[in-house]
Amino acid sequence: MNDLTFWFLARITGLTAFAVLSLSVLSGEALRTSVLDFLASNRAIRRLHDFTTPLWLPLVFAHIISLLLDKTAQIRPIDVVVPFVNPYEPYFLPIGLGTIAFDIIMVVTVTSWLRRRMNNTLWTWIHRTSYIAFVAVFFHAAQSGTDFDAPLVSAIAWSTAATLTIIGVTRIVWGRLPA
Amino acid sequence: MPAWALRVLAAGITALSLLGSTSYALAHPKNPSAPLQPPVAEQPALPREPSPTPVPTLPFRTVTPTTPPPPTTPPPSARATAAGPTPSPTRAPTLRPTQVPQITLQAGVRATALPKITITHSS
Repeated sequence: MNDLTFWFLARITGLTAFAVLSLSVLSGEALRTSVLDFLASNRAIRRLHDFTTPLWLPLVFAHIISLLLDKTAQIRPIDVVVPFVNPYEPYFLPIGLGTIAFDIIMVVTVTSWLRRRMNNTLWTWIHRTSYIAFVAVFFHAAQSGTDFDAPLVSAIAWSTAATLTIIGVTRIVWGRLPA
Repeated sequence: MPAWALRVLAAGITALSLLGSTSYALAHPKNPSAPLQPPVAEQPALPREPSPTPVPTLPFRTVTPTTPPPPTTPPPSARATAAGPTPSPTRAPTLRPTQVPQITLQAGVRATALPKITITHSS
């Protein structure tokens, strides 16, 4: 296998995971706002939100495994779960943000599977940390990603992040929008 | 829109993102400002033009070709008898030293002295 295979795979899965995670956050925000009411009912959007998990989960794991196997990235197994311990000195912050994002989304995903056995308020607050995870994912990608300073990718990524931010702020300030 | 249609839409967006990311990453293997530089970044992006002079790989030795001796001027007495009346004494033209060209030969190639030039043409 070529030395660059894992490096290409890490970039491809990272870009795609960011796109699908954006779709997941959008569908989650649409449940509490009415931004997608023109498209479908809340029940259908809820199913879409649940459906995005099996889409982004393998991509995130493929991204991490590729980075573990890639000789250029020099990511160790401990860097996947413990943030800010990687020896990659100039970029330990964005890589640490990726680790934080991975930890948070894993907790959010597992607690979503255990929702029926959990306190609803606790589950809600844990689930809200996914906003923090998405911000961490974005800055992880923007600061350490190979392609995020390319004009095409940067335009798509920043516009997606701006859209999700506007919807999130709208949700916090005004609550559910009128249908 | 029904839920299944949204799922199909989400799967389609994922597939398109995967295809787009793959084509973009493969089309842009090198980003000079990227934080992680793979080995491909050490290679030039564009093929270099061939160098005008090939670089020798074998040991060389330089041989200076032998040149024929310069023509000697006959003594004034001999010239006087051959040309008739005694000419006014003139200085013989001085030959300017010219730079001898050097030939570079590969190892194992022998250089031979150039044969003398003989004029065979007569008109």
